[in-house]
Amino acid sequence: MPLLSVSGLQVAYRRDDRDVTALSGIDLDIEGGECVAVIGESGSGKSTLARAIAGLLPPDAHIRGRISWPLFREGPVLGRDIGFVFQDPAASLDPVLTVGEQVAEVARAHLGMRWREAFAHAAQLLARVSLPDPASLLKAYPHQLSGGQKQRVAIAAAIAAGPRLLITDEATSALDTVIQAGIVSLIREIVTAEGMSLLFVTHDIALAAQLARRILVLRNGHLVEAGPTEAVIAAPSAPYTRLLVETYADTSWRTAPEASP
Amino acid sequence: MNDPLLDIRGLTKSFRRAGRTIDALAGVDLSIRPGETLALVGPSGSGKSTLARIVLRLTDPDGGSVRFEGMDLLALRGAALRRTRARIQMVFQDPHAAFNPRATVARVLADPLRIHGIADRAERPRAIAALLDRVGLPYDFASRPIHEISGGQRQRVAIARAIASRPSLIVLDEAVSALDVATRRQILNLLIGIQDRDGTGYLFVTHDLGAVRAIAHRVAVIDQGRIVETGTARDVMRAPQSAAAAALVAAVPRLPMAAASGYNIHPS
Repeated sequence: MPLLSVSGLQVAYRRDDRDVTALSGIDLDIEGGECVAVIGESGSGKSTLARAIAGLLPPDAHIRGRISWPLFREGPVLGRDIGFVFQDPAASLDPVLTVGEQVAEVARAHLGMRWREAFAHAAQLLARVSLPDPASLLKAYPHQLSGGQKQRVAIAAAIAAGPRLLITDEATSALDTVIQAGIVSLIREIVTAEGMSLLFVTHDIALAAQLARRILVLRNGHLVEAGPTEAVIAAPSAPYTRLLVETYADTSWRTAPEASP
Repeated sequence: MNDPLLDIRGLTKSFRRAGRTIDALAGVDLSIRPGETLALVGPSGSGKSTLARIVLRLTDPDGGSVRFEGMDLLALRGAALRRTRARIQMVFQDPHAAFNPRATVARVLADPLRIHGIADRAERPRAIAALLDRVGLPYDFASRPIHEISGGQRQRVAIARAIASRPSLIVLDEAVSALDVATRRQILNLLIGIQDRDGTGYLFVTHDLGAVRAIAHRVAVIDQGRIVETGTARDVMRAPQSAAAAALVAAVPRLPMAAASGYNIHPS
């Protein structure tokens, strides 16, 4: 039984008195413990898909089709059953709350812990995401942290209640390459150890391939490619996927410019 | 061996922040030859943007020298500095931030033509049409407001604006980092085409080695305000010598080799 099953999903937004379709005809199952990547450029509908699954679409979004969660009789609860990490940690973290308060709040709200217990839990989570000195970090504010550290805090908050599904929406694309690599290893390590499912939303097919067993490629709101990672990379069927793969397959180097006379 | 276009020696710059002194640049040596792309790569906070800002004369260093086309760039003032500004142009990461969003494309391109005295009012429409043509935009773009065009198109306009004054050096600071894969490829090809025709030198500042292979002839790796390695793009990316360069190269996402058997991803 899949953790979630999306069928015939269509999402449209109301803009200037007309419906603009952001996503259409999407079918997708995610099994328990499975890592799936959704690849696309800005405007492809990838964030809309992630938000639709998390129940985060704005109220004016017009949704058709089904997203079913066979294991949850009453539907999943965001924060408890689904953890969400945004591209911009400012969207996940409240600037006026300490790091400890925001991570502990998740444990308090969804695990029924009291503050004291929740703070102890938060300290463990900060250590879990490899942040140094969790005890003093609990009292720090987001603005005191670097982009990579903030994203680690956002991940700690997202996994605080032990969700079944972690959704990361371009969670590393604002970070430099070295920091990005660290965050990607952290995500991989956490979902593997906890047996979580992962929906990894990215524009980068190589990054997707490092994490996901299965890849979906979206373009202009349509699914243009879906399949096991190896198969998609070895034999991409859509021209757009081929372009993505070829970007990495280019092995030419520029030669030195000729000296001018 | 011809003279370098840009020659930087012993450049230092420090900032005071929260009561501490931070050495943004701790003695940087670099040179770029005419028509060459030097990629300056390093993590966030390594000093690469500070270096770019000094070359653009947006900030002054504490010490060291910068020679551009044989002149002491840091000593230039007044009219001489304005003339040199036409020869050193820039393209930044976010073209949105670089423009007044309500201005039309024509307005954006008219500015450098006017400021640097390149085309008078009567000649401007033709000069603008020629610039749009060079960056692969149709002429009817001239009347479009900047906020109505896509990110890739805006970056083309930024490139058109940069080449309007026929510079010999363009500083490209994360110029393709925010673009989608297909657009990024097109913009890199556009930049390469301009360089091949005009012999423009590029200082290509980035934290991302992905684009470096496509455009760079040489790479300088900066870490904590020091150049820790320079070499051809091929040598630095295949066999990095310094720990900082090795960390950058290792962090570049790669497609899994076995899976991509149809493509020659990692040639020996």
